[in-house]
Amino acid sequence: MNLLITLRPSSGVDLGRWVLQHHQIPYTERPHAPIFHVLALKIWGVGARTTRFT
Amino acid sequence: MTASGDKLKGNPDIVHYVESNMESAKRLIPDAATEPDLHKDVTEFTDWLYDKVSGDVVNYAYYYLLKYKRTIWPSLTTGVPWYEKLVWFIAFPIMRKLMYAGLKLDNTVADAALNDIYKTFDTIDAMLADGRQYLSGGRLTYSDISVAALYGPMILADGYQGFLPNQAACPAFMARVFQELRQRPTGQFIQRIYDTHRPVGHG
Repeated sequence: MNLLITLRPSSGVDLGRWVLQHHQIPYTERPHAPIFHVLALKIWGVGARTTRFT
Repeated sequence: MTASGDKLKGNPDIVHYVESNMESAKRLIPDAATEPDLHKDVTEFTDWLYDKVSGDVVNYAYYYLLKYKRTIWPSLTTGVPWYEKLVWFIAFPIMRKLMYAGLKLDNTVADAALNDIYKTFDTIDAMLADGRQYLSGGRLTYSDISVAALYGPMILADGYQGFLPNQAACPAFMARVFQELRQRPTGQFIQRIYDTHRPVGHG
């Protein structure tokens, strides 16, 4: 199962959910509180996020 | 993290991963080879949007909403591990101070962010003035859902799945801003895209 590590209220996160739901990609969301979400992403080995296409 | 163990770092990565082998007509990011003009339009628009948004909604919403613990509490803590909730409950003022410091938030930054949000709405209002139903091309693309999701919190969009505060619980000065933006063409566009194109979540 795909896993989405999130800061729940984030607008970028809702965009990511939307993409997955639009294409009916199943996923599990694991939300974290602010500040803790940064730690969680580091633990999962995900650093700075990408936001641009070009 | 994908089921096969790939680590995707952001929405462009997610879209590329999901749509890589999909026919262009179904893609939110049209295929560069078969729909080059629309691909360029969507990627350039959404990059512009990210540059414009980059922090504006965060800076405005967090700065002011973090002053109202009861209002922002469900957004911060719904579904999070109990120990994270406990730390926020006990140390809310300290956590708020850490967030203000980490995001370099103050009154000036928050008010400038709101001003930028109004300017971006001006630009998108102008795009919508020709009566178009979608921002790029004649079908739903990543442009539309990006505007909807990224600015959804600023109109307290129905259908947003990130536990936005209840408008009735927001301070009056913020409720007025949300209401004003919701009535703008861009605000109405955002809600229409949520109403007509947002699937029910299954996360």
